[in-house]
Parts: sequence; C-alpha cells; structure tokens
Amino acid sequence: MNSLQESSWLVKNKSGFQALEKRLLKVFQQLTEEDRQVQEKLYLDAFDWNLWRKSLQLVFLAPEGDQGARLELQKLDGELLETAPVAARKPPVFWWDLQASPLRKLLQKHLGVCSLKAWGKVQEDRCQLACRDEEGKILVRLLWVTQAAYPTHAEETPHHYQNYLTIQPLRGYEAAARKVEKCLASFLQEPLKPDSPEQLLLLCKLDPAAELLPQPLPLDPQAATETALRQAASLLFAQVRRYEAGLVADLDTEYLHQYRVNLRRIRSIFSLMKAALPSEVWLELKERLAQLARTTNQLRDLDVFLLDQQAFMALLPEAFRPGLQELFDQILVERNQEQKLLARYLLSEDYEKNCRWLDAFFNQPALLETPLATTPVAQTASRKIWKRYRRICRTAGEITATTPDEEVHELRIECKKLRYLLDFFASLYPPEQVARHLKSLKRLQTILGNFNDLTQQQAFLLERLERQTSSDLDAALHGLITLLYQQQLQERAKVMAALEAFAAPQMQADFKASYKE
Amino acid sequence: MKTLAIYSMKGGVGKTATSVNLAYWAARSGLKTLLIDLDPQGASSFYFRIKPAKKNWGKRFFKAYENLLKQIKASDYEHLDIIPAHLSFRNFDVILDGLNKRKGRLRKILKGMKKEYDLVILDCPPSIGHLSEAVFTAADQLLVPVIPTTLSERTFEQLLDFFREEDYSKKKILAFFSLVQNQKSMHKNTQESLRSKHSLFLKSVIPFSADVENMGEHRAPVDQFARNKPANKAYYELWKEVARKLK
Repeated sequence: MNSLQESSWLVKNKSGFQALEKRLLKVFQQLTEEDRQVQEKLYLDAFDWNLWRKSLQLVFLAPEGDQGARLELQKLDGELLETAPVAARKPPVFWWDLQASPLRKLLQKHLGVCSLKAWGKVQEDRCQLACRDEEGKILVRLLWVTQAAYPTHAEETPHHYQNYLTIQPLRGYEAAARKVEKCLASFLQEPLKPDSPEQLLLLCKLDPAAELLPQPLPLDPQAATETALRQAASLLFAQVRRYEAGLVADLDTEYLHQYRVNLRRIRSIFSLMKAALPSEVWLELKERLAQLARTTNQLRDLDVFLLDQQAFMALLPEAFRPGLQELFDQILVERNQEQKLLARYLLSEDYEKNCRWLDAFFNQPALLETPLATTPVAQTASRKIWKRYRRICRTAGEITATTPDEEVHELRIECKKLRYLLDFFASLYPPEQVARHLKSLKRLQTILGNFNDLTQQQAFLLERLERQTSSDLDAALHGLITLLYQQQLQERAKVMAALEAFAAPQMQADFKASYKE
Repeated sequence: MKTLAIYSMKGGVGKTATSVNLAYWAARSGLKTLLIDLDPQGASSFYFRIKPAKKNWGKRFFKAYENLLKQIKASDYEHLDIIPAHLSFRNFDVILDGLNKRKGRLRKILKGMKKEYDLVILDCPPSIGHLSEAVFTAADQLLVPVIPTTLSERTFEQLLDFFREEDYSKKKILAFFSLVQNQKSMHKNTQESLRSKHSLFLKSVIPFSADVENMGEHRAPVDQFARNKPANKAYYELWKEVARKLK
C-alpha cells in the first residue's frame, strides 16, 4: 500500500484556483472535484505556551454540519498524537472539562492547573481534486486549501488569506505527480504544509520564545555583580507584570503562582547578594518588593488549600466529607473576595507607582559603590554557591531524629537559597554539571517541601478550628489534622536519608571541584 | 495477510464482477487490499480503468517479486491497489512449468506482500493448469462462482474431483451461486440439489442483474452507480460472509 510522499506548497498570493485549473487541463484530460469541506479551527495553548514548549499543538475543530466538535493534539509537524470528541460547542478551558480519554490524560500532564486560551483562528476550505486521464482513471490527487488566519488577541484582527496545494501521488502513477509540480512551478512559492504552526504564529505576529524568560538567564561572566543583578531582575520583573492581566481576570491559579515565583526570584537574588547595594538602597528595594509579595500571600494560601480539595477529601472516610465540604465552600467564598481585593490593588495608582519605581531601578546603571558590586559575576557565583553548600552540609550533620522541626525548616530555607543561586548562575557553568547538582538538590527539596507542606496544612486547619465551626466540621478537622500529623512523621523519617545523600563525601567533592576557587 | 482466489474452470460465471466488487468492499471495510488480475483478458483492470502495463516482465522467475511490485497501481479507491493484467501472464503457465516446486512459487512470491497488504485477491483465468495449481496452493480460500445449471454443476463436481485426486484440501473451497434467476425452475432445483450434497455453499446469492452488466459501461464497482440495487446489496452480503470465513 506504500503511501508515497506528498508534497505541500504555499501558493503565490496572486494565483487563484482558476489559473491553476487552466494550466492543469493542458496536461490532464479532466480535473474533478471529489470532496469539499469547510472547517473552523482554533489553536489553543496555555498562557506560558506549555504545549508549544513540548513541541505540541492543540487544535479545536469547531462543529460543522452533523460533525461534532473535536480536539486534536498534534506534533508541531502536524502528526496526530491523540484526538477526542468534545461534547460542548466551545473549546475546553481546563483539561478536566473533557471526557475521560488518552488525550485528556496527556493534557493533564502538560497543563496541570493552567487554563487554555485560543491564540489563533483559521477558517479553512479544503477541496479534494483528482486529475484524470481520457478513461477517467485518477492519475494524481490534489488538495487545494484556502485559509483565512487571524490572531485572537487583537481587537482589530487582520485576516491573512493563503492558498496551499498538496500533491498526492498515486502508486504506479508517480510520473503524473511530477507533471503537476512541473506545470504549476511558476505558481508555487515555497514548500509548506497548510497546518504549519510556525507559519500561523508568524501571521498572528506571536513569538512564544520572546514572551518567555530565556532558560537559563543569560549572564556575562565578566559583568559586575550589581550590573548582572539589575539586568536579570529587569527580565524577571517583566515576567511578573506579564501575569497581571490574567490575575485580574482570574483565569486560573497559575497566574498568581508564577507572579509570585518570579517576584521571589528577584527578592532572593538581591537578598543573597545584598552587599552589592549600599544598605539604604537595599532596604528600600526590599520593602517595595515585600509590599508586592505581601498583598498576594493570603490569596495564594487559599488557592493552595482549594487545589488540595480532592486529596483532603480522599483522606477522610465518607461520613466526614460533608463536614469538610462546608469548609471548602467557605474558603471558596473567601478566596473569591480576596481575589477581588487583589485585582483592585493591581489596578490601583499605588501599585502602578511602585512598579514604575522598581522598573526604573532595575534599568538604572549600577552604582558600583561596594566591593561585591564590582566583583565579576562569575567569581561571585562560585563563592556564593560553595559557601551555601558548605553551610547546608554543616547543618545536615547536626540534624538527628530528635532535632526540633524548626531546625529542619531552617535547613529547607538554606536549600531554597542554594536552589536560587544555582538557577540564577546556571548559564556560567557546564549545563550537565548544573543539571546534576539541581537534580540531587531537587530530590532533597521535594522531601523537605512535603514535610513543610504538612506543617503548613496543619497550621491552616488549626487556625480554622479556633473559629466558629459546626460539630461536623469540627470532627472533620480533627480527623484531618491527625492524619496530616501521621503523614508528617513518616515524611520526617525520609529527611535524614535524603540529607545524608546530599552531603555525602562524593557529592561534597563534586561541589568542591565545581565551585571552589 | 490472507489470499483469496476467485476461480472457476468455466468462463462467463461472473468471476471478474465478483473480484471487482469484493475487492472494493474489502478496501471499504479498511483492509489494505491488492487485486491481482491474472486473467490476460484484463477485465478487472478494465473495470478500474487501469491500462495494462506496457513494460515487459523480466523473464527470470526469481525476479518475479520485484517485477510484480513495479506493476502495482493505485485504484481510485482508498486502500485498494491493483496489479493489472498483462499479456505475459499468458506465459505464467510456461514459467511455472519450467520450475521444480512450481506449485509453491506463487505462494512464496505473495508472501512478500505481507508487509503492505491485509488481503490479496486473485482474479484467475478460467482453466486448469499449472497456474491454477499454483493458485490452489497459494490461496487461503478459493471462492468459486457457480451458475445453478446442470452444466455448471458438472464443472463444479470436476473441480472437487480434481482436488480429491491431487490431494488439495477441500476446506479451501467456498462456493456461491452466481447469475441466479429464481424464476427458472432449473436454477431453483440445481441450487437445492447442490446445497443438499455440499456444505461448502455460502448463503449469499448473486442475482442475475442488468446492474452487474452495466459495470462495463460505468467502469466502476456496482456500489458507485447502483448503490440501492439488489445486486449491490448481494455483493456486500457476500463480502461479509467471505470475510467471516477468512478470519
């Protein structure tokens, strides 16, 4: 059955179908229309291009006639990976809007809590044609696709019209396909598939790579530390602000999360190298960054609790669930109020002023008033990383099964700091070295993070217990706190082993060789 | 991959119409199908509007597989390819004659098609000879159209005798009544008598029909121009029954 290689072409803009038809009829006896379909397609992705980053694209095929809507997950070259029918007439917003299917599973993996949005729209007219000989036998098939493409983000959306021709050779009639290509050569602009996402992104004037933060952050090893800090912070702050609109519109919880992650990265790198700034300058910067972070704390706490709803419910026996549901209902109300407050703040003059100050600060030339400020950043990097790793190893040595939880939390903070340093300075070291160190650090952080989450969750629930509660909720809260405490004990037991691995002699030697000057 | 041969010692029994329509329905059901037109008269190629190849086949039989691949033509229908008739098929008999183990050769050549096709249909010329014997060996099932007349009954019995004498498995044979005119009492009686004697007759029956004759004019399977006619439904039912037997 040997399917032969199709070839697709972008047709020159001025060339209409009639001109092509005329040319083809000089070579072939007949040209017949076999099938014709119109289709509206929406191209979907998350705000941070989660699918594009994995070389995937998600296409929503709108319902046409008696054909229901479908969703297709494709590779960027158009190869279909999974498809599933969509019951609604509109594209899904979250993966959980879909019926159970392999496609849903893949989207769950790639999207998590991120919402989908349409970034591009294509209206397509697909005409299947056949070139025949004098006996009516089909010698070669052609697909003529007319597309109107436009971006969905702009209010005034310019439509881009394009024609594509796909030549589909048939076995035993390869010469006919070559004839088509030869006789139409002057109409064909360049080889291009009608579903090429690059072309659509280009038409929509979208550039995912430019929207996202470069990974790793580019640093000039010779640059002064203060200069490098300001440049990196400027990039990070642009990312912070990128999430504002989605946060205000409350599209999904990821906008706030990413807003905070990028903000925290700025705070951390300056805090870890605060000696690069005169102390009064650092104090003002610190206060302004803290102000932004503070206003988002409460909403994030509530979000995190709500995101764990299913896991919490699953922990409790059926009988206790209605009581806990009461709490989730309350928290959802609080969360929505908190979101409105935050949205109002983000739209306020105060907030805008603060942001303008910060933006100006990051873009100002470095003051270069302290010894650290003028140190080349590559030198600072190795010194800071080595120092932090040494400190973690020292603390790790002191931790035993009976060490109070507070000290474990402190160790967790130290690990976080090392993580920020490795992330920030990554571009200065061989990628495989950074990847190796990050991998083992992440393993430790996951365990410490779980341990900390369990502590936080208990504190959150205990605080709720102190408020007015119904007896059902009371019972549910007591049960849940007990279970979380048990889990925490189990997690604590894992901490020791993970610490030992991270501070093992081999690892120490590896860090020393990599970062000790 | 399965091999289905449409075979009859007698001409004019609706063999080619059966090959064309079954190949069409097999492909429609999603099977990657190759129809090989072994009949030098080239009627099934004609129905698919495929011109016979001009190029000569290589004389040497060990190159037969490569030669065969080069002859494959896509039909106008998805999943259906055809090897058109060629005058040199006339020599098939001769070529096969010159070789030892000739009966197994065709089977061996067709084995190579396994990667590409789910079903190979052989439209065989009406004769008994080396080619037919190679077909009997190669085919998983032999589908035999029988017109319910006394003469056809005799021919069919001859085929069964031949199978018995040459030690071919009778299980390979599937027969069905073709060009049936139930208003004729001879057709009715012959069907009854043959069915009572042999269990290898399929339930499906292809009626005598102008629509089948019109295939020559339309040069297409019946479904393409007489979708709702009894003949089309009969071929579809026949395909379903044959498909079950092929499994």
